[in-house]
Amino acid sequence: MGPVDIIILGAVAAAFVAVVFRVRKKGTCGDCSGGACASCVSGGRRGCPACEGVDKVAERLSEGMPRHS
Amino acid sequence: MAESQIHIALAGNPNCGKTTLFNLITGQNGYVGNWPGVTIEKKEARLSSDKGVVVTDLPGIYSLSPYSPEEQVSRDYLMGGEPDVVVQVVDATNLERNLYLALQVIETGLPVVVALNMADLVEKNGDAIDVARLERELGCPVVMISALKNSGIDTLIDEAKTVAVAKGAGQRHAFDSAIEDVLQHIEAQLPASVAPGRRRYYAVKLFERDSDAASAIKLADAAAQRVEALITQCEADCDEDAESIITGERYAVIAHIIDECLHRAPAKMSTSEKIDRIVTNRWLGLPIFALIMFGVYCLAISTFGTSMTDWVNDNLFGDGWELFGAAMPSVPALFEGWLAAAGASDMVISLVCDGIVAGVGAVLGFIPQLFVLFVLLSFLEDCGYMARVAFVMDRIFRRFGLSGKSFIPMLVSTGCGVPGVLATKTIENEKDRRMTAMTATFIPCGAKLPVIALVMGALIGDAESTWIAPLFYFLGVIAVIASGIMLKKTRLFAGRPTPFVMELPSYHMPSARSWALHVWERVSAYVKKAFTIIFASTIVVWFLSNFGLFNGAFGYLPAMPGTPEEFTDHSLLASLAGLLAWIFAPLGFDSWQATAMSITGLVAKENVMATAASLLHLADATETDPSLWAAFAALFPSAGAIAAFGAFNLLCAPCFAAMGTIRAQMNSAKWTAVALGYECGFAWVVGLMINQFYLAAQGVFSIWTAIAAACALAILFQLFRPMPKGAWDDAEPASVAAPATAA
Amino acid sequence: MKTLGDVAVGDSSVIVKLHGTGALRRHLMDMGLIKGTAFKVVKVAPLGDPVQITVRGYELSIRKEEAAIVEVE
Repeated sequence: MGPVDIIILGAVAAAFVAVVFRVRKKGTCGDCSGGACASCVSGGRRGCPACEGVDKVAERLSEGMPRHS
Repeated sequence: MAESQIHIALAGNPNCGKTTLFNLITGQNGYVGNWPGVTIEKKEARLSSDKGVVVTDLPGIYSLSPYSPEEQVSRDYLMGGEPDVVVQVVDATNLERNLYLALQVIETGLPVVVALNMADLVEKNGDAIDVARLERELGCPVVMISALKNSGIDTLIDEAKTVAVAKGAGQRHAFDSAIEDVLQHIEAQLPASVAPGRRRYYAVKLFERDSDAASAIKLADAAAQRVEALITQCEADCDEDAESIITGERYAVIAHIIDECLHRAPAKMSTSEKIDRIVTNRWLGLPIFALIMFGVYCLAISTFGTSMTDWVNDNLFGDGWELFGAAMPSVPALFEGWLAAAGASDMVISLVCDGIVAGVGAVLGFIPQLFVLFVLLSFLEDCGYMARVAFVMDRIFRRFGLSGKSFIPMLVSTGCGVPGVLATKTIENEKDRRMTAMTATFIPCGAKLPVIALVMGALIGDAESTWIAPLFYFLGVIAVIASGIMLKKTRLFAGRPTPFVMELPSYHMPSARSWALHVWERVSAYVKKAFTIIFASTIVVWFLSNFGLFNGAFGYLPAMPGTPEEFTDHSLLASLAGLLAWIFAPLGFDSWQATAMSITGLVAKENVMATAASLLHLADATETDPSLWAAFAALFPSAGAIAAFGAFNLLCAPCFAAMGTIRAQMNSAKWTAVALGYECGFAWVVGLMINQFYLAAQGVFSIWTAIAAACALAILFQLFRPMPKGAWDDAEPASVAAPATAA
Repeated sequence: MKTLGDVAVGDSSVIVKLHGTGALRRHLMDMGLIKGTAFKVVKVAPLGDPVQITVRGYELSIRKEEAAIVEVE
């Protein structure tokens, strides 16, 4: 293994880790720039209506407002 | 949050141009489609000209009734106290129905500015609107704008800011004096805690017997009884129920306003009507739909798109290409040259070239096809044709109890399954919502396009056979319909058809800007995926397919002494995939490579292609110029197996992202399992039938032939047996459909 | 009782009353289908259902089944 190998492997490894973090944060799908995907389910990310579901959004929007169950 | 912030809420009917306006003033490029219910959620952004102003785009709604999720979201936001001013966007070409919501928003007592959108079209039609008169009638500022042509926007924003600062709610329209009398009496019964500006709104809502509003203000029992007595008396006097009375009163007010303010030019047949005469024609409607979709897929995948992608795959990522007569090396060759010159070892060169560049490159190679597909689909969506498709197809969907509303998620799924599944949330009925979420991803999305192209390329080689790609699209549509009919007859999904009352918006030519944005959004998402999740996957696949046990030692296989040319057969990937290959044996593709492609496809469907490219690239290293298609086809024993592979990968559980969305949407582990299990099971059975019937046609029979035949019979039985007795009885009849649950 | 679903394609009529209760009825009213509203049945979908009506200046698609709660003249 020469120095070139180590540099390239290091760069690939860094890119790989970066992608893994991005996927953890934003999910696997690039479709929604807001990151409305798989992994925000577990994190319960706010601002991701996709994962929240309409019922929860309605609940959040009506926070602090008198409302039936 | 800073004190000086102003919150503007955008409200309006579906299709009134609200989202176009939102994008224009905030510089966002959110998605605009021409069918009801594109905005399911409220969206928030800051004004691009003044960062102190927060604009919220609410879902398009027709009313502030508590019956649909979109209406609840909007209503709760409006009454939640956040907005300083509501910009009520009104489609000026359809004042009558649009003003109905406007009146209700004005009734809330919030400061309102009415934006008369599509002013240019009104002028074009030869109509005239008396704005000053309309302002007097509505009691709030009215501004003529055109979001598409970007006119009147500055005036609108200035007006909105002024009104927001002044906090002045306008005077309200008056109903018939008898009704006003009753409303005043109801107002008197409201507790003192209800702010003066809101008393009218709650009085009207109580009169309508709106249970949400009633529980919000917690009326004392005695007061509630008095209110009920007032309503009952009024109903008796008018010989109508309270809801009808109020609705009638609002439309009476509107009729008066229209008389005063709108000067109509003599009606002539609109372009929309002319188009509709043909497109939703009794006899031509369905064939036209089939023809259009056939054309879209032919053009995108089979003809124009393919020649582009082939060029990219064969030249840019294959054998190199010529530029003005000079030989240019292909991208992998370029990388290989650089790395070799820099003195990198064989392993690193293999990782970069055979792993990353081959995998990511293969996926990127499909951009031209994807681009063509999205240009065509985006146009169909934005111009208003899709609402017509729902109209034309509704009868079929009704057969299994779904409404045309379920069709929209499926149309959205042609781009990506994630927003498709998300779009199911406008469906009020829970069973229908689940069923739609389960079946929507059968429709081939953009990421499945490489799978279709790969299978098609392998099946037909270089021959032009334009009908294969559309066939896979129709396979998706048929899977949706067949699944719907079958599932509806099970106890899990039994129930009456949901009502389907839908506006058919006028056709319009999408603006070049929004069209381009729409295509860009989808293509860029695809590129983003290629460089993130696909990139990471190719590294994993490369590692798994190059490392393994050989002669009792673990290591990098090509560098180990004595490894055969087909070293990947000893790799970790081969061992892992080999464990699962038996599942696919009856489908005809039990090679570990095909199994590995299917499994990596669950991460993202593009991975099927990326893995194929990576694995075949490794195998190719010793051979001369085998095309990817031929190498891929060589993995399968027969054409039937290739088709089965394609069918399985198109229909089985979608990618991680879509699975996560299904999970979020179902909000239950059990239902997620049911959905994914059904998708995979159905895909397996379809693959089995394709392969076994293909073999049977060749005269090859086995126990699996019988099983495939049994599956086919079971499916036919479930499809054609009558709706089980009592399946619809337990559900409420359509005319008294239960209100949407918001628990 | 004659309902909206009974009106022949190409014919116009006026709404007399909306029957039933609940979400569908309210939705129809919100869409402008109330007592006294004139409408025209423009066409029927290829498979015989739903129908397309012109009401209050716009096009509305409604199934015959749902149209059955709308009594017309």
